[in-house]
Amino acid sequence: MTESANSFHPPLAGSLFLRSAQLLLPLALAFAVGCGPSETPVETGNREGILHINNGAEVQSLDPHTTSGVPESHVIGALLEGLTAVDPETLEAIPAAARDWEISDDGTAYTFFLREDGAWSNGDPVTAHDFVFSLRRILSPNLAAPYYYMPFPVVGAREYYEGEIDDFSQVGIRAVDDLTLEIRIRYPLPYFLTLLAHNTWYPVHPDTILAHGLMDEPNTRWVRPENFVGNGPFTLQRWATGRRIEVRRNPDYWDADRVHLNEIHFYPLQHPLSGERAFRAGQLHITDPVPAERISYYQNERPDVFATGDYFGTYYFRLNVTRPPFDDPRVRLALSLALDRETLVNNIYAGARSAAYSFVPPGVPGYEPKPVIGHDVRRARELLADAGFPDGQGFPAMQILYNTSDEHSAIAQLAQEMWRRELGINVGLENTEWQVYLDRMNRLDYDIARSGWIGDYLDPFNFLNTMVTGGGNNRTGWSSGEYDALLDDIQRTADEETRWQLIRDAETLLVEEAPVLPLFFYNRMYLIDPAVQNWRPTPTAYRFYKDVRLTAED
Amino acid sequence: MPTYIARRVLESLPVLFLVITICFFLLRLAPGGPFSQEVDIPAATLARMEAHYGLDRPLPAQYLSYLGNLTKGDLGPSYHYPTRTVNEIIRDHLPVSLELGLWGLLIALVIGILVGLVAMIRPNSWLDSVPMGGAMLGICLPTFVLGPLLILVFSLWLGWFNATGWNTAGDRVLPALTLGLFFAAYIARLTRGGLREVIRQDFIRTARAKGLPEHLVLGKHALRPGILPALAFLGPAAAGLLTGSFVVETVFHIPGLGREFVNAAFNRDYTLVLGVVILYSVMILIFNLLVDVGQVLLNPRQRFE
Repeated sequence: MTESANSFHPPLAGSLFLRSAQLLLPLALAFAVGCGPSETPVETGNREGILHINNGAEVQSLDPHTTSGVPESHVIGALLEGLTAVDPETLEAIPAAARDWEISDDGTAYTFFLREDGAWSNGDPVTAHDFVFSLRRILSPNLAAPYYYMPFPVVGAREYYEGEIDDFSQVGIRAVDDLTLEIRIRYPLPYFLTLLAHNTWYPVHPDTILAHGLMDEPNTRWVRPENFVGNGPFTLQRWATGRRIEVRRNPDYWDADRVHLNEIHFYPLQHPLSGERAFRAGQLHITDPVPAERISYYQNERPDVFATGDYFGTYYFRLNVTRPPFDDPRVRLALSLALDRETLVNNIYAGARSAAYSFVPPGVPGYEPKPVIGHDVRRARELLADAGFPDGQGFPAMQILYNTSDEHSAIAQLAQEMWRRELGINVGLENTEWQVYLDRMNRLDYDIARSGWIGDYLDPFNFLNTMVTGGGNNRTGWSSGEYDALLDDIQRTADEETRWQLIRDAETLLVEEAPVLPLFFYNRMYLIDPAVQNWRPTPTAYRFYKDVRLTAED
Repeated sequence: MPTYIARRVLESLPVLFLVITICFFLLRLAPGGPFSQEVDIPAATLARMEAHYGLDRPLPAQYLSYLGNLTKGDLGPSYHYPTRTVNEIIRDHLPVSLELGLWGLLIALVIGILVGLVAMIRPNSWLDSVPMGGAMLGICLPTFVLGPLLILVFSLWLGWFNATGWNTAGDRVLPALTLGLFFAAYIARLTRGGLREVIRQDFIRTARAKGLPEHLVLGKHALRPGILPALAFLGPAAAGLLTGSFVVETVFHIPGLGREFVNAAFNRDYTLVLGVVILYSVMILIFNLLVDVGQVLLNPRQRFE
């Protein structure tokens, strides 16, 4: 039966539907236009001093001692302040909660003088006792702080955390009086003052903590907007999960004159493309990162909103040295030398990131990265032949493990092709979900794994220490007595030049032994509205919100 | 009818219990855990975190205490958002998904049935082929394509709406369209198909023979049995619409439950995943029941049994 056999022509019904459609369409359009924003949030923000910024993800908590993520640290940095801050220009330590300090001649005893006008957002004065309380809190095993090891340079800190001493007064921190704090460290650390600007060292308000639970009880409700007490340039106004976090200028902050923004709104837009669309629609002043596929467009067409900066991170491949043939350093180095890193960064990031021929990224004041290796296919082939795989013959089938992401996938494919072409070896690709990827890396159940490391503070030790024998972040099975000894020496050396040299020696050894193959250094790539002035991101997650201002556009 | 409903409710309890049990143990089989991070956490710290939540106890004991809390309506703490409970997260995010889903459902129903009817009126004319072609396109076009497309046109080019967010009334338009159009396409095709079946039946011919105006034939006699296929589809669809769409919520950055659910699975936030699964199961069971009841009410040839 054909359809037309049943066709009929009801003039009334047909025209009724058509007429109603004719009526509805303009109505719907009028409604749509009426709802459209007349002024974008960015324009309103410029007038009212409200910065709208993409924070990348929903924060897990706002407790400086129990969080370890970058989104968390961005918000916490607006709400709390440590003894020191980091100058975003020079990257040197500058006064914050402490107005001044003295360092003993041997570099192991620090005396901090807190400012008299330092205040918590509830009006209480910020005292040296608050800092002692806070250090004790993060070193309390029950708190299960992810960054528990950050204060380990302090005398007795490790012993207290590991339960060897119970008496906290034996730990090298002491309130001499309300406004004088003394900290003793085990060996001189050239970067100790900037380390204090990391959020693990931020003070928390003792009475607020105790009002919502025990001193060392994790995850209590003191972090909620109605309870939060901070000492930073902004106060927590609103935490609407999944929508945004709003912080407002703290009028009682000691340096309030230097704070120009009235509010900052943090949006947890997870996908870089969503962030980019919100930026284009005038909903965000700043979004970071720029989706890789949009980099060259912004570089060429919109340089007025595209910005880059140092980011203290390295992208690398791990090799599982417990699996032959990766137990042979010649094979590992061959793989490293055969990679054409310039082609890689040009292909994936339109050349906006730089190839890594060493492990420690640029950005450390006083330490410039020097290439340890290069792109040397001839030597790579020789090394591989020496190891018993001439032209890649007999090389077992290895896999590159990476977590789901277009970027990781593209990078792995490029490496796969380079190794096939230059060395004649075939590796496969293995894409897994994030948790599976972490689990397999931790159990050394992989051949080659993509990896990245972002430094918490600006010192190369941060990077080199990940590869210490048996370290939890090593995840390659690699071990070198010589390397471990160098790390020890680095920690004990106060003289800057000697220390840089030891660091360079360790780095050279690591990259030539090649349990890790550095591919490129991360950098910041972000979109920023021209109305934002004095936005100066540092190479770490640390942010300096003072000085930032918005100018209304003409 | 009340006995029928009571029996159906009782029948669904074992199903729900089975879903909870399977889900509880399957989740624990997945590699990783709620506290794994890229930065290494020492075993002792990890053990303390697990002890804090009772995750160090044997699995059957955890299962029993979970069931115990569940009977009190307590879905437990979230592991990924340690200062919030699963109940709080659902309370915060479910209303958003419900609202989005209702708008989507409204669009799906109004557009779907209208288009289905229009296409029905003059089969094989442009009035049929254009809307049905559009519906086919709507089914084929996934939301992750349609959403960005709508943003591009109505937000970035025309500037009528925000590209993301869930604050103003205008923020509802694009996500609801993205969500609704896909289902509208299905409903349009099902309505058209259903009506075309019905229109050939004897009782329609009888109605026409009696000289009933065509709009009454359609509206009174044909529509009721004609939308039965669409209604059967609507049950599971409504549950899906109202509990949130991961894609639409991600593309438009809407703080709904769908996004939380998928992220929770990636984060191995056991309690949050389980809590949302229970909620979804209950909603699907309820909607299926409603559809079955609705079908009997619309179709006199069916009976409650």
